[in-house]
Amino acid sequence: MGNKHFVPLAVIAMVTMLTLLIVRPTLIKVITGQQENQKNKKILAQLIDKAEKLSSIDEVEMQKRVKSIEEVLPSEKPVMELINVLEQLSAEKEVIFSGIELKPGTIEEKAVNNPSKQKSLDISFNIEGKLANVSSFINDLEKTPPLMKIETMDLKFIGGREEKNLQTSLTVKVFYQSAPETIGAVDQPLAMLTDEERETLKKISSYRIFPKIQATAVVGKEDLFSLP
Amino acid sequence: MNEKINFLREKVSGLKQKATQLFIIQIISFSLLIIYGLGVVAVFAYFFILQKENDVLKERINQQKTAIQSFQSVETKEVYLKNKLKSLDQVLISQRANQKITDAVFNLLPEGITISGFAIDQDGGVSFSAQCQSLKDLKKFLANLELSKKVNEMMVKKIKIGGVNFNYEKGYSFNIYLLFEDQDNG
Repeated sequence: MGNKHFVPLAVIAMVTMLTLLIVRPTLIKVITGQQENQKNKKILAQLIDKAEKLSSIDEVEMQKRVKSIEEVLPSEKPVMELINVLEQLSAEKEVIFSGIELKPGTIEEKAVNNPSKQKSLDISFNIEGKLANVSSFINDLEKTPPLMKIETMDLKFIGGREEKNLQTSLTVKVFYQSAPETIGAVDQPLAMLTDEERETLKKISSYRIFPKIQATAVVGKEDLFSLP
Repeated sequence: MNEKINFLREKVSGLKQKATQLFIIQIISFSLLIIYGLGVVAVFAYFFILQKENDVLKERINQQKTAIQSFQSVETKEVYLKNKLKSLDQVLISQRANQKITDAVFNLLPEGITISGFAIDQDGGVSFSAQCQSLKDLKKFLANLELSKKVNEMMVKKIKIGGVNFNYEKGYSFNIYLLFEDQDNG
């Protein structure tokens, strides 16, 4: 036993000890390192792709799109814009606009859950005019920012057969949506606009935008105690 | 005749054989130890290469993150657009159908008919209450419905009239449900 088996047994003992104490932990680290390596390669590929996509975006064009969509689907309740649009559209279509009833609710609300969810407010109003004019008004209403959708409608023909005037009461849903508060993690892939979305953008860019009414009168006083 | 008598010959030969065996075992054991050692060195070398590669990758990831952060305003706008367009699409689809249906109903209405509670449901069905002073107006409206199989690419698929009432002061009143099918969308 002595001489003959000493060397092989010593080798086996050494190999076992080395394996348990050094090689095994190193192999575990190698496997973890390989997994990390694969993960990092994937992240890097995504980041390179994202950076390339971002650098290829025309910022000026993007700004135009943001402006256009903000007109159509504003981030805040478009109360004043709505009244302005309805007044100008009714004047253009030669229909009498009256009886506006608006329930704007709270002017500013802090959304806790899902802040970028689409919201809406209802507005009711009456219009009166010739059938062709009322029809044209209704058609243009849904193609005029801010985004609106007719919910209910009451129609009544008034006047003689020649006149064929139509009195219409409309309840319209006006949409708005607050901007997303976060843009997500840096390594999150960037979702580019699809062809359908580009088509939608093209469509809404053709929407008629009425000029905004600006308050011209000076209100307020810088120094409350100054004499006029 | 001198003949050498060696009583140890067999024992010496046995010892030589054992020594050879021992030598071979030792050679094999050391060889295996060396191979094992080389394997260990290879594992260590691979581990260090991997670590180095990971460090380089992490450095490149940080560089890309910095590059992406410099485009933050563009990314914000892209996310904003994507988010709003998603909502916008749903409303626009329902709007298209509503416009056609509203136009179709306008074309069906004769003079003398007053309608109220005009509402369009998700399937493209229109329900409203109608009122007219004379039976003639009611007949005309029903005749319009009968005749107009197709109004502005909108096919009248289903007509349901219910609750027809007559009152001396208000005339005829009834509820109607019309289901249209868009010929453009098949």
